[in-house]
Amino acid sequence: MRWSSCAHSISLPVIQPKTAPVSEPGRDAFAPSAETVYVRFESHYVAVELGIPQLAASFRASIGQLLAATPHGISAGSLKASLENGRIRIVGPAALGVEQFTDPTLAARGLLHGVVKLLMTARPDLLWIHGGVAAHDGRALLLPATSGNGKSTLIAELLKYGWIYLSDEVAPIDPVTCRVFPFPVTPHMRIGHQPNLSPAEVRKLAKIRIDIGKEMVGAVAVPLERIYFLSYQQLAVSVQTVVSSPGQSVVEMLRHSLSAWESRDAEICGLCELMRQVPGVHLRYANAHDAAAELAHAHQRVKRQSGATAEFS
Amino acid sequence: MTGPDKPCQRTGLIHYDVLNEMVLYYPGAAQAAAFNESATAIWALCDGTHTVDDICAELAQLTSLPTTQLRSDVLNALEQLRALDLLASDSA
Repeated sequence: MRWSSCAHSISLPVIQPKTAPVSEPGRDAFAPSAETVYVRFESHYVAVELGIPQLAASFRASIGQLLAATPHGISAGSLKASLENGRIRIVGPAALGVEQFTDPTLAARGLLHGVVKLLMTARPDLLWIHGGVAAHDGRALLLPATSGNGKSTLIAELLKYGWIYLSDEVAPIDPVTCRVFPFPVTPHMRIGHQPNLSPAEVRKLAKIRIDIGKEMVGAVAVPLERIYFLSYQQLAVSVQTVVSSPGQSVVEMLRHSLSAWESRDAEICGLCELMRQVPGVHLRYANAHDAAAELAHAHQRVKRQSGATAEFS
Repeated sequence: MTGPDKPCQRTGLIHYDVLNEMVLYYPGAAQAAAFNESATAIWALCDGTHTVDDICAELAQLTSLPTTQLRSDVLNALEQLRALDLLASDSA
């Protein structure tokens, strides 16, 4: 046994059901109408009733390739957005609470979060991680990261290398098969990035939507090749990769988990199962283009090694 | 530096194996910790019956390292465990 004692720990956020606020009074009234859209994920769907045209447009734009014309499969629940006293009110099942917004863009985000929560409840067998996912040659990389660490930008850079888009934000993973499912909401990336910006300054940059064709979006679950825990470091001279041990990787994945704290035991079991099979790596970088190149080259190395192993098996 | 008399794991912790490492989850504090193989070995000996010297002696047999070299690592590990509130309070 190699001797070096260490423990790596985190405190997990306690997620409470939300009730209300954000709002300030006094916005233009929106013309009421009724439209129901369906968000489809594997064999489930969520019905979203949208009574406000501007919100409907924002939500449709954000949901991307998950939009379905008709309900199909098993209902995971429904959400309703309506106008009340000049505010956009979103109501779902009791456990989700009620949220209120004045900005349609923020309301669309709130709706998306509600959709994700309903799907998580419908699919407790999956791990739900906050991260970007891209795939190449039938193998996927997961990039968990907190806001401002560049996961969307890195995903956009990988797409330039011909990678396939699976997700910008939510990664549903089967811990038994280690396959990650597509969750292709419309990707966004920050603009105006300059060298040496601090993470706090990066988070303040505006985001633009990235329009990608259907042919660049993954349609089926893909085996995970590696998980890269991203850390944007403004002063990093070059891209640095450090292997994350299985235990450390479990704790890092918990940091980016979307699950409620009540289900942690099952989730940790699933993460341990996943990290027994999928390697984790810490990736520290300042330049997204260089980092994406490193990810692409590392993928090619793994592919060559797998090919070499197959020849002798 | 002197360590706890006979360090003991606190109750209420859930333990998960992941290859040769360990993850501990403490629901009461919504906290999780990952232990490498060495820290796992020390943790296993925190059963309320081993002193620091006993722990060092056991690990010396496992690792073939001298107890003098192991002692500072063991004390550091126990300090970390205490800081993470993973040891029973009366073992402090």
